[in-house]
Amino acid sequence: MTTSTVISKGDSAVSSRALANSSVQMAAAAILGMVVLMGVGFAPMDVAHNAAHDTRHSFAFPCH
Amino acid sequence: MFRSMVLAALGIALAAGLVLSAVQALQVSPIIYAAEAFEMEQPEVAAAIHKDHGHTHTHNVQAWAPGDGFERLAFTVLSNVLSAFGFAIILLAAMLTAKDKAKLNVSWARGILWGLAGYLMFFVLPALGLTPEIPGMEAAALEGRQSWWVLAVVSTGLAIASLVFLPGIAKAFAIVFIAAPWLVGAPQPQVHGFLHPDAQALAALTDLQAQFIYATAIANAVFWVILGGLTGYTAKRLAQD
Repeated sequence: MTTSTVISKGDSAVSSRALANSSVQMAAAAILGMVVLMGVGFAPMDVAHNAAHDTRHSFAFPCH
Repeated sequence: MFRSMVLAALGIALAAGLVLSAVQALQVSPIIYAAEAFEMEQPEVAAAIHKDHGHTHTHNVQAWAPGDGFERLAFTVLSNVLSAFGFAIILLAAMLTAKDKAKLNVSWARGILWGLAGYLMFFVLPALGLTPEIPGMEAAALEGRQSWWVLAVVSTGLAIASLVFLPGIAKAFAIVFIAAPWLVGAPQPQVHGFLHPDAQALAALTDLQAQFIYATAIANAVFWVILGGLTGYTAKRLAQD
């Protein structure tokens, strides 16, 4: 209870900082997802292609 | 939040990736193996075809590949789970952002709608331009197809987002976005289909190709509905924390 009173004092400053912080985290999460997908689905190395071959075909990622 | 999102996406990916692997093992992979059998049958023909058609990359025969059977299946399951992780965390970030900025509710039922949007965006629309292929099928240069795929995914995503989030007449932007990849045009090969010299094999491959389109359409639909539902449920829980 005491903590919530403390937070509500600097309400607007805290929440706008939390919002900016959250946007950065959302962007970071989305970028991480894209990097992983690029690696599995698009990485041109033969080894990556061979390991993920059936997955690439199943998702209809451009392959071969 | 980032940490919780990564952990949550891993859990979702494990579930959705394993379901996909099961559906795939039943009805997608057998078609891939059957098509490969034709490729293996005549390696010198396949090699010549690849050389003649000016493919921009050459397959290095020495490169490591998982051994057939358990090893290949294990790497496919791992790749499925990793892909599911990538899709899940993007979907999670999109849902939480939409909840935060556009006050859109999240739930497992809403999640299924998000999943269907993902299915349209990542599978249906790109596949309408670039048919899901089995091994051995002729296709245009890889780089061009990859760029078009990304274009189709991004513009379909923007079109869906315009319909959902833009007010009134501005929703019409969706038409521009949906049209963009088709105005550019998906890269097509000079020769469609297969260059197998044997007529019987050619008929079998063409038949396998037709089956493969249905098989992948079903597998991806199941995958996206599960991924969307689970991500919606998770997003609701994360937002409450």
